[in-house]
Amino acid sequence: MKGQPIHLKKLAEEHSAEIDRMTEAMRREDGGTLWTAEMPAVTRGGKCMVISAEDEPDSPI
Amino acid sequence: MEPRELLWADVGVHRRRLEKSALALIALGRALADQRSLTPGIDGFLKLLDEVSGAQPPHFTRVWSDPVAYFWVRRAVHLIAGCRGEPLGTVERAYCAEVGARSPAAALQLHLEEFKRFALAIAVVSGGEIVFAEPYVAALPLAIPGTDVVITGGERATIAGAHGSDIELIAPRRTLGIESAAHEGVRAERCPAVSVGDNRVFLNPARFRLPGIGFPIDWTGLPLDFQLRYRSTAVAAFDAIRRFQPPTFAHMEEALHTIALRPNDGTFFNITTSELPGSFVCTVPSDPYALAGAFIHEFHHNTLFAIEEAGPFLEPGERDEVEGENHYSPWVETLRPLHGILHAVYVFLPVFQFWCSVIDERPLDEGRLAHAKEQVARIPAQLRIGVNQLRRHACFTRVGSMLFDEMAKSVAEAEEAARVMGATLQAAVIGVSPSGALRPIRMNGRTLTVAEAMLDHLTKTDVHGECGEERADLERQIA
Repeated sequence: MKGQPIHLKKLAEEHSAEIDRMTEAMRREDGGTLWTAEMPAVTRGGKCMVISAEDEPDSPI
Repeated sequence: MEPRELLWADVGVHRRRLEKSALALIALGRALADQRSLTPGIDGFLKLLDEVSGAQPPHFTRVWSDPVAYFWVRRAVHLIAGCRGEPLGTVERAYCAEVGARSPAAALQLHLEEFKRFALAIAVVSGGEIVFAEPYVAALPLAIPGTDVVITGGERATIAGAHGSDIELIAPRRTLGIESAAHEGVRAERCPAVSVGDNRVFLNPARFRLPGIGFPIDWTGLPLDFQLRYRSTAVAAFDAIRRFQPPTFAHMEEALHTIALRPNDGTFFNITTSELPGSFVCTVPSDPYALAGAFIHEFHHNTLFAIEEAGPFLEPGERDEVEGENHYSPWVETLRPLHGILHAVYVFLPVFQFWCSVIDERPLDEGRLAHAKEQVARIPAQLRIGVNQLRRHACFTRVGSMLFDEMAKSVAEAEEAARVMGATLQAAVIGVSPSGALRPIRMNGRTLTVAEAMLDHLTKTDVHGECGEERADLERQIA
């Protein structure tokens, strides 16, 4: 990824409040609030219409 | 930031997601340091975390930019929550089932063990040394994060550590040289890569071989030769994106990390998961322009997932808006969640722009021209159904509402652009042959039109009768 390399120490200093919030979230019962557990999603692209192999006898496949 | 800029121009959105995952890694270390009794192995993990955190920034960034880093840290966070009694999410439940863990604590122990792949990667990219206190038993093929190296050639490898590009195996003890040309047994191979501007994008199916990932992964064991065979098609597809859809190319140059090409085995076609930023899977063979359309589509799922890091777009309701497959979508053969329909509206807008630009190219291959005309006719009509479905059923958050309104504006612009270009739903439907050639689809002795295909899809798939108005409109166009 483009941009400056991530310097973890500097990042920790610049975002200390955010890290404290994240750390506290992980210590509590509801530690999953950092990311909502229900949010992961898989998107399945629609399938192109496929012409059967019989329609293309010279196909290498 | 204006909604239009946030949706289409803000390349920084990917960087913010990466930084969030780095912050989460720091917080994870602090949280686990206070909870060492949560599961065995925390001391060992914290030691490795020190090694990884102490790496030179360019080396850490290279390794932590790997899509699997986000997957790893996010699973760790959810599994810790699970250890404290929170219900597990879909991915974590699948993760536990696939690794054979009977509790979140058992899964967390195994998951912390998997952090060794990042320590190994730091050694490989830095030329440094890592010696594991306990060997890393890695399931193969294993993609070394941030690199083109794949350890393959068996079910498992027992890794004692690494010294630069030499990986030390035990049982039996031997050194695995990344530069060696071994073709048998456990060995290191290098995946192909393609250039996207200044960015080097890996073609690496092993990157997707993760427990709980949410789609079949058997194909990830295919030899890397398969990627090599279709690399030139991928290169031509990226070249088409550079020429015809430069804004997407600029985002890809910024944030695309790994793609994988797979054969069409009937299980799924193209896929993006929110859990692997900067990556997607596409099916080949394909015409390079059609593949370019698929790349644009899949990459924009990545972008919208990155925008979603700031907060959800949909209010929680009685029905599951993210995973509940309850609503008609004009793009797939099953009902879809509202979240999926919103994603589809977003990703098809730049795909539409791509095909509009392709039509302007002269001379254009006959099959491609017909395919482009079909897309320019079909996409706005599908987008209209998608927008209507969201208006009918979605309850947006404030941010979601703002972004949806902007997308709806763009859909109206796409409809107008298609009208000006003379696109109609009488355009022929173009299919992809097994070899990737583009040909008209024939049905009952004549060419199938977009209107007929869309009506047929609605009739078969709109099982709850949500789109009566759109159906009547299509029937009028066919009559």
